[in-house]
Amino acid sequence: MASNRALQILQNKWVATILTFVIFVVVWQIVGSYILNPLFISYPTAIASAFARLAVSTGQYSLIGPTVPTLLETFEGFGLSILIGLPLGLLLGISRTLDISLNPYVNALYVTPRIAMIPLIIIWFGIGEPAIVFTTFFLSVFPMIVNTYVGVRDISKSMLDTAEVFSIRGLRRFRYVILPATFPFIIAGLRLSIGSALVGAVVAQMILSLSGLGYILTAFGDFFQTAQLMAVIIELMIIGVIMNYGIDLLGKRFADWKVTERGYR
Amino acid sequence: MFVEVNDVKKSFQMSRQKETLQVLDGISFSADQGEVVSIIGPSGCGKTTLVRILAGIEKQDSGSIKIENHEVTGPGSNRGMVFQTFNLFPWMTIEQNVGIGILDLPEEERKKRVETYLAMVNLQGFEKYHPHQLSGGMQQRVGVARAMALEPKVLLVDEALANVDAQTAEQLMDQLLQVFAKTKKTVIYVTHNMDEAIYMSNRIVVLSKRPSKVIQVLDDELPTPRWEKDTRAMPEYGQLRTTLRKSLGLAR
Repeated sequence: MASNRALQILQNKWVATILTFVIFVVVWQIVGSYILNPLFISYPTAIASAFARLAVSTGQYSLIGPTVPTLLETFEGFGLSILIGLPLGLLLGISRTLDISLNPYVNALYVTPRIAMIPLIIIWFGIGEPAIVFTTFFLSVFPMIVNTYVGVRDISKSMLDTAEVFSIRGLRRFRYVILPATFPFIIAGLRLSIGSALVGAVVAQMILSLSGLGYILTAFGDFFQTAQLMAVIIELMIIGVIMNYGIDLLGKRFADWKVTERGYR
Repeated sequence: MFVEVNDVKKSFQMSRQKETLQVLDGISFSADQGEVVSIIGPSGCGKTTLVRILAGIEKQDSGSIKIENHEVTGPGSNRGMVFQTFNLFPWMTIEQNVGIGILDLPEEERKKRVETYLAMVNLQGFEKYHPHQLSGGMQQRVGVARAMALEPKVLLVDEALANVDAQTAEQLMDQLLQVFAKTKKTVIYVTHNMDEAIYMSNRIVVLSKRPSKVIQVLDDELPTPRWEKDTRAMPEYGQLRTTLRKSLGLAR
């Protein structure tokens, strides 16, 4: 029957995805341009042309130029988070003493809205790049620590017993058992951490900087240039997706046993 | 005696309660070199605790365990263990898993051992696979190869077939017997399955309910080599099974 056939086509994953997207864009176009004032959410064609214009222009108010400081600061903060958060998470997971003495503070800071620290960070670092990098680091280090820690703690008793039976101790235990067993959690930590780093860089730039995507977001907002503002948001979205994808690739490359064992993580 | 277990007692402190749970109440038995001794008893009687103490990853409260007159005080490569839940490291390939207990050996020697014992359990060609790509029965054979690769004096087997299906278990029993016979290993074989105990062992140590004691030690003199279906058809098999049932309190 014809209706059955239509249903089958709809159930195809790609057809459904594309169809929803088209409907979404068309509705947005109509609502954003005719029903609402375009100031509120603008509409797809205006955003597309703003995106195109900003993508080819140069200088402070463009998409390419300000991306450079944003990405640099994101990766500087993220890098520091890996350097400090990863070993700290491992140590907290392995050492009972460290866990008892440090974990309450880590947990307290983990649940604190860390953006509340920005005024304090300004007192420490003033306004400028060091303050932005520190904010980025401060936002992204906790997911790194906590995920790694949970990963170490999640290692099953039977794995540790097995290590003991086969006399795998000390550094070998760390290298052959603890680190690989924790790896999927480290990947999850990296994913959350890089996302937080991007948030940190953008927020810090909104407050502390006269350059970067964070800064031009505020600027476009101040001038009520909604289409341009949306174009920057879409660029950030794309950056976020690409970063996530990169971490996913890393996970699949180095912890494929986990992916295949449990289907999806 | 090659393996001597002498008056081993073990209690566990129950968390949040003051009372202790006594699991083992003076277990004694011994095993000659090259003998397969089964430990059988009702579930919860502390068989696994006993084998963990033998492996050195659990400490007894009192009593002693000696292997070739050396007191067991912790884990060591003179004992290999096969686990009920296989416990392979999922991030390692099969050959890495088999070689994990012999990291101290020179590379060459290690490679050779891995090869030898993978061949002994008929898993040549699976060296580069990961555990999740293998069936349960195959994973347990890797577990056996890993324990055997230590070339231990004593092989400890903790309900090795409890997590594979009945058909696979029968095949594994035959394979295990061949490995035991070929290597003349001394084996402590923990099981809750009567047929497995009868089929696999030279002697059967019957434990009581918790706190467990040794009720009886049965000699199992069924002729060797044994083959699952032939051995089960022998009249002696039926007799031994009846004795064992009585001993476990399942028949009068």
